[in-house]
Parts: sequence; structure tokens; C-alpha cells
Amino acid sequence: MPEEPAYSSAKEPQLVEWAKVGDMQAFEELVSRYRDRIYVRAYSIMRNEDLAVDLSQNAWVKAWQRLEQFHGEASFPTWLSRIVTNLCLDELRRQKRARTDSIEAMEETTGPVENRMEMETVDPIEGLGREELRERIDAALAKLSDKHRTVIVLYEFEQLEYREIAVKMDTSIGTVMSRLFYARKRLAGLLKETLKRDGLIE
Amino acid sequence: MTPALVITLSLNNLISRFTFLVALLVFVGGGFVVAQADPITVQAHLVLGTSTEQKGKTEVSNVIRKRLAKVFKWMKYYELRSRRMSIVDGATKTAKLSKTAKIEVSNRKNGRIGVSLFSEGKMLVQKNQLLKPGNCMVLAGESGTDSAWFIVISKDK
Amino acid sequence: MNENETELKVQALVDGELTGREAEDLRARIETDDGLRKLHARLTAVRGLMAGAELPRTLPESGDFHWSQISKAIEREERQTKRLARPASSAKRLLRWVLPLAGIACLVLVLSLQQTTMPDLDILLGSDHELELSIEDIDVMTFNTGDDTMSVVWLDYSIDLQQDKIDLWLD
Repeated sequence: MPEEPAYSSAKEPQLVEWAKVGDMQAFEELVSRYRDRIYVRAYSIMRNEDLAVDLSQNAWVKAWQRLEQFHGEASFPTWLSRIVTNLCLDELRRQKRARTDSIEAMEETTGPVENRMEMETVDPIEGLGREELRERIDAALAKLSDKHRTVIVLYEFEQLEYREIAVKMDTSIGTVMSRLFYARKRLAGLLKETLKRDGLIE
Repeated sequence: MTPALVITLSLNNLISRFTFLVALLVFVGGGFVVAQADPITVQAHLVLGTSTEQKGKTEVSNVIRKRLAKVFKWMKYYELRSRRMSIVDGATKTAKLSKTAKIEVSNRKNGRIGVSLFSEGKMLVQKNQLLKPGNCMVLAGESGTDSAWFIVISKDK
Repeated sequence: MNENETELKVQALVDGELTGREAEDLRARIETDDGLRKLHARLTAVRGLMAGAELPRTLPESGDFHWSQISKAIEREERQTKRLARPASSAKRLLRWVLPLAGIACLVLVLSLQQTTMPDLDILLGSDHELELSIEDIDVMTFNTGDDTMSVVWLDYSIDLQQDKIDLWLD
């Protein structure tokens, strides 16, 4: 009787190969290894737990359906991350937040006082642990509009190039650059505010 | 045929018939004794399902956890109370699960059990079903925000 | 080049999106322009802060449940794909209409027969299950797991889980 493969100790490429020929247990092992990572990416964009969970599940289903298209150019979690990002962007398009986005779009081009302000300096803070900094950045990200947060997530976390972001967001490279610039300025300003408020900087 | 022989033959007949009847009685009686089934053993667990870690509480067994986690969304399942009951055919036993909640479990023969859930003295629900060893019946509901109560009932093999 | 365009180009330089001659020219300009140098430094600092800054999170539901939802969705999609792939003969097409109609007719018949005999609060789930609710305004949902090893009655009711200390002591 053939022995059942040891899924928990199998390497990722092997699990992918097994999953490609229909081995659901291998796919289940992949899900168990990367489910948090895929959820985090979905949450970073959507900022809504339920939506992020649903979109993560959909991403896994799509991944199963498209396994034969995965040829190992990127790592499996990177490939999966792209799938969930696309689903999130589709979902954002469906949600209508035109009013907020159009105001922010105006601010990007015409430039209110805020936009003409200098980029804040946010120096490394002694005693501010990495974990605490992540939490503050996360809180600041939550205050950005969907489009600005998305461009930051796609650039900084998903590590896409301007051109790739432009394609995904169905916009021009120039707009991507403007949004990224504005988002970074806003983030720096928000971070500086919270650090000042908590007495960590003057 | 001589009368003695007739009497002997008749007596023999009688004895063999009597023996037969006794044997039949024993067989039937023994069978009757065998047919009265062993009592069933039922386990009931009161479980809290929640997404937050609860210090000081014991997590349920892997068997129960896997069963519940397959269907329900909560991350953690804690055992608050458990009871084991041995119930003969036709009898009912009560298990108190919390200050105000109890269940009555009845052995309805042929593998069927009846479970009645009471809260503050009022019966909420009664369920009768065929319960095979290894399977389970669950009564459940929400408990506060983002947690749930489960009463998991199973029958031992 | 207007001021805003220059700022965006500095950002592109920091992000490694500006290359060749354009990048060289801008670097030379930054060295002599205080404002651009500061902007370059600040953008570099923000980039540095953002590197690896995605807050780790755990899926807010159990792994088993998450997987069960995924596997069910996969099975559903595969069944759907098979159904769509099958060519329909005219007889099959006809059956597609006839069978549901027959099903509805049977259901109507059963319901009309049952109506006079079924008690008000009993819900007949099948020959193996009987359920009775004593309190009318409790909503209830019942189902079995796919493999039939677990039957669930979900009540819209919260029971008190507090334990009686005396009973615990007697356990």
C-alpha cells in the first residue's frame, strides 16, 4: 500500500505539483501555510474583516482553478497575493466611493494648502519598537482613502512597479505617481501627528 | 403392543415433549433476557465557542474541536461542563449544565434518543433522533458578541 | 518642468523608477538644490519606514472553517463546470422542464396531504429526526453536516453559561 505523502513537511513546489494533479490535501496544506498572509493583504486594502475573509476565500478558489497557469516565475504566495489584490481592486471598483475620491483627485491636481505643504520628516524614534511602529503605520493607513491606501499597499507591500500599478488600477503612470506622492505625504503627516500627541517627539 | 410398552412409549413421548418445552422456554427466556438491551452511555458537553483566548478554561478534545470548527467560524472551543450518563431502555436522565440550563436525555430504544433543553425551568426545545455511536447531536446558539454556546451530545460505542 | 513634476521625478528616483540620463541629471540637480535634497531625504525616510511595515494579522476564523468554505466553493464550481460542459440532448432538455414540474407537483401533493395531520410546532426533518419547539418566538435552524455525522439545531436564544460553584465542587 503506497504511503501517504507527508504534506506538513513537504516543500512548497512539491505541494504545488501535487495540487496541480488534483491533490486537495496538498492544496489544503498550502492554504494552511499561507492563509494569514493572504488575509493580511486583503485586509490592508479593504480594511474590513468580513470582506477580507470573503475575498481571501475567493482568491484560494481562483488559485485552485488556475493552478495550471502557475509556472513558478514568482513564489506561490506572491502569485496568490496578486490574485487576492486583483479581487480586492475589483471589489473596490464595485463599491461606489466616487465622492471621496473625486475630492481627493481635485486636491492632487489643484493643490490645497495641505498639498503644498512640505513632506514631513519622520525620523526613527528611539524606544519605538518595530511592532509599535507597524501599528501606528497601520492606523495611519486606515485614514487614507481607498485609492491612496491601495497605491501604497501595491507599491510598498506588493512591491509592484509604477507601470504594473497603473494597469491594475486602470489609470495612468502619472496618476499613480501623484497618488503615491500624496499618500506618502499624508502618511508622514499622520505619523508625525500621533507621535507628537503621544509625546514621543516634540 | 403391551400396555407397559405403550405407557413407556407415552411417558418417553411426554418426557421428550416436556424436555423440548423446557428447552424452548429456556431458549426463549434466555433470548428474552438477551433482548433486553444494555443501557446506553451518553456524553454531553457544554462548550463555549469564541474567537478570544480564555485563560483558565480548558479547550475541548480534538475530536469535538474538529467537528465544530468544520462548521462554525470560532477559533477556540472551551469545555465548560461535561456529563456522562448511563441510561437504560425507556429511562430518562437529567444533566445540569449550568446554573440555569439542563438537559434531559431519554433512551427511546433502537438507537433513538430524545434530548430536551431547559433554561430557567422552561423547556426550549426537544429533539428525538437516531444517534449512531460516533455521531453527535448539537444544540447551539449565540452567547453575547462573537461567541456561542454548544451542547454536544454523543453516544459511546 | 513645474515644481510638482520635479517632486514626482525625485520620488521616481527614490523608487528606482528613474534611470539613465534623466536620473543622472536629477541627481546632479539635487546636490545643488537644498529643497530637493531635503525632499529626497524625506522620501527615502518614508520609504524606509514603510519597508516591512504591513501589520501581521491572523485570520479571524478557525483554519478548519476557512478550509471547509474554500473546499465547498471549489466543489460547487466544479459541479457547475461539469453541468455546463454536458451537451443537452432534446430528451434531456425536455426532462429539465418535466422533472422540476413533477417535483413541484409531488411537493404540492405531499404538503396538502400533510397539512391535516402535522401538529403545529413539530418540524419533521426526516424519519430519523423530530424537533419540537416549546417557545414560539425562538427562531431555529437545523441542518446536518455533509457526511451526516453531526446534526445541529441552532437556536436564536442565549443560555446562561455561568457555572454553579457548588455543582462544580461536587463534580
